[in-house]
Amino acid sequence: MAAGTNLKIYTGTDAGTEQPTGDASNWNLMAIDDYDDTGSLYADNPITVPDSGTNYSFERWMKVEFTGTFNLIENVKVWKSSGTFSDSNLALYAGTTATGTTPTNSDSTIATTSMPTSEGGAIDITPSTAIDTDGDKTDFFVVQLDVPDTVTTPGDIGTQTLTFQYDES
Amino acid sequence: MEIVTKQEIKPLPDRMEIVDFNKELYKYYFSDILSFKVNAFNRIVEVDLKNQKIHVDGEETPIELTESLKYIKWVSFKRNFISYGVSGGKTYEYKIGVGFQGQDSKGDNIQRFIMVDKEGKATLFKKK
Repeated sequence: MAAGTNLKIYTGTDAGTEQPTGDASNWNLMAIDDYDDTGSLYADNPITVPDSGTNYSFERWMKVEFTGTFNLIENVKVWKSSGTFSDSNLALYAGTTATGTTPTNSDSTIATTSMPTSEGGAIDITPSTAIDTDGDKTDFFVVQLDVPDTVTTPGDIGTQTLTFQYDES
Repeated sequence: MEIVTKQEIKPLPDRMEIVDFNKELYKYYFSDILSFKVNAFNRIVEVDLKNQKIHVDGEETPIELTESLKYIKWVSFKRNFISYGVSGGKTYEYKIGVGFQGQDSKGDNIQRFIMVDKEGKATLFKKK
């Protein structure tokens, strides 16, 4: 029996509110700290282009949960495997941490690395304690969208895909 | 999949989840396993632990190993790839990793394994 996975989204104080019950349907980045449970909430809460400086999305805090029966999950890494931005001035930043903090829409102190776009540069989110039981999760993976005043193309940022890799033995 | 040990040759079903295959391998104390074969996306990968060689479809793969390793142990795993689109969509793929690991004369952990994807492409991976 192989492991199953659920993507989990974390919001609120200390990133302590986990949603949804099963697998998240999206990781939309918004101007509010919430999970987009309708898939259209992001359109009502866009990150606007500032007159000067940079606006930021609320950090998107995520974990991967492993379900079912398995021996051991190791080597969990994540990178952006595909997607181009609607405007070249948009930027995604990412980072990882074991400890939750309240998501911010200021310049993140955790999502500080330019989002890796290849398997070779992937961010390791394997926790220090072994993933060997149904319900075990990775460390937090934190993503933030930077919207500087140089952005000229409004609307959706374009499809972006995150790939999570993990070894199962 | 097939395990060859000092004690017995045990045939295993061709189709087996890597996790269940590893449970079968775990039944044998690692030093007793001389070799094993895996059918990974129709590429036959044979790991010869006794001689520290790897063959793919009967042909030896150059693994650039310059010395015999100590504490040799088999390696067998499934590398999974789950992709999530920002506004939806989820896809899944996996590759099979098969090989061995051990310790060199400097005490460093050395790995040599073959990764096979669904197209049957077999790639050598090395750690040191």
